[in-house]
Amino acid sequence: MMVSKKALLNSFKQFMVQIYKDAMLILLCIAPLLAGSVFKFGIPFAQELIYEYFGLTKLFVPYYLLFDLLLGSLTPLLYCFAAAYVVLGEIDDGISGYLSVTPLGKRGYLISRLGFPAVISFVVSIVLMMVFSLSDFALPYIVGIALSSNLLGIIEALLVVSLSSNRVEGMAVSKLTGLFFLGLPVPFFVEGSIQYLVFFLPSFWLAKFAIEKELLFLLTGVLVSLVWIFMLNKKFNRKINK
Amino acid sequence: MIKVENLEFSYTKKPFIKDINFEVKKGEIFGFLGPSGAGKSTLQKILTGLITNYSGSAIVNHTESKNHDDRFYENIGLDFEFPSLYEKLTARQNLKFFGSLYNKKLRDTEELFHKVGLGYDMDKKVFEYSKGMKSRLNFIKALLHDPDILFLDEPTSGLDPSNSRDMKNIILEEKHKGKTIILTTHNMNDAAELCDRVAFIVDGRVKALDTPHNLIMSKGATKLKYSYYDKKEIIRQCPLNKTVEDSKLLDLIQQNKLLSIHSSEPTLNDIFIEVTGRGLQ
Repeated sequence: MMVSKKALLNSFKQFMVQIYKDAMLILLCIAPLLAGSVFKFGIPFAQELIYEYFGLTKLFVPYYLLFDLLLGSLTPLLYCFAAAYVVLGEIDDGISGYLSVTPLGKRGYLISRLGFPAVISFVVSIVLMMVFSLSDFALPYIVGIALSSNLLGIIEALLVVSLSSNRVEGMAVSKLTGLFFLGLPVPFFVEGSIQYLVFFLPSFWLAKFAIEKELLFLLTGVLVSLVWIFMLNKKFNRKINK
Repeated sequence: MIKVENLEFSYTKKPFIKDINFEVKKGEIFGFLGPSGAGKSTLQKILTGLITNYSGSAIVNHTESKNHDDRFYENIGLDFEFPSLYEKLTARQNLKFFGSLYNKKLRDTEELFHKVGLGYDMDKKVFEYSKGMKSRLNFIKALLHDPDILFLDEPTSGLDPSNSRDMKNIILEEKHKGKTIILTTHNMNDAAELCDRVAFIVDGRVKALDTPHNLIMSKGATKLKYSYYDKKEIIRQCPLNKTVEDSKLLDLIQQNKLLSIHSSEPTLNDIFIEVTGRGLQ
């Protein structure tokens, strides 16, 4: 089904107007930049201080990759939360259901509210990782990480909009969605096959890909994410049709 | 314009909408009447393409609704019962945004604002609007892209008699322009006044379908009620077409002893209760 380009662009423009009119959402959008600066300069500085005072040379160094993954995941996490917050407001006001019966359609609505922000967050993630990452990454590798973390962001947004019925509940659910990022440290701290117990968390496969640099882990992560997105999208569709 | 054949749908394993058949012609106002939970909204969702996993056929504007693409909505206008508007935007900004989603030439928004009495409030933010003003704004939002088919859900709900009259006049004006209108309402007076035909929907089935006039006439003739004094006030009635056979009435008229006399027709509401065995809630 073709979605009207005009409807898509105007709907996205309206989405940006809502972000622009909400100071909290603007702050969410610039937060990854601030976090990137702290990660890039703060962590090596803290490492130096620890070395100076305690003589520990490599307290943080083995986890630089984990910090990079956190930085890579932060942008989609915050951008997709901002998108989910706008969608929740629109559900409250009955607008989501109405937009589904305009030439924008349900698909166009989802693209303009979750798809476009995810694309922007994908680009911002890549730029931030190129500028602020602590490890040396090749571009295709950064693209893989940004892709996986953006799928995670979409899952987070769909969880928030499907499970909460208003903005206050949305805030609470967004904290719960943090659990989805618990897969990130698992391959760093848990050894052996027991780590695969968290196979259902796409963040686990993201970390595995970052450590092992195996395409198979990236593809598995993408597949697991798509299953989550498919299930949550069904739930969200039912919600806006009510 | 709309053709529904053997339509069935269920949210669970138990059938909810069953064996629905009807046709709505271009330029007709067709009413869905029924108590809450009867299936009116579900039927509207099927016709507007929001529910697609039904069986049977629901053709709207030459398109099977479950196979629609998003261009389908260029010619459909919806006025939901509860307003769907951006509260932080002005009424004019709301219409500008919703209008921007269509590829069609839009109607003159200022004229629409004036028609529903919002001419001096179009630059107010929607959160400053009263419930009735929001309803009227929501209504003109459905007309903005000049659709061929209008789905109106309780369009006069929450309006004062004067605004309700204006709204009904606009609905009739749209009908005269050749628009097809599906009206979902609990208000039997509105239905009787506006609809060319109505369908009584109960438990997901159409219990009766005809013009309001035919429904009323088929279920009960007009009666004549009169009263007179004979030690106490006595009220009697007879069918209007048999007054000549009522000797008591003729005597009372000749003796000029009637206290009151009036005809009484059953209302659409009476017919609804008779046909469905329950009232509207």
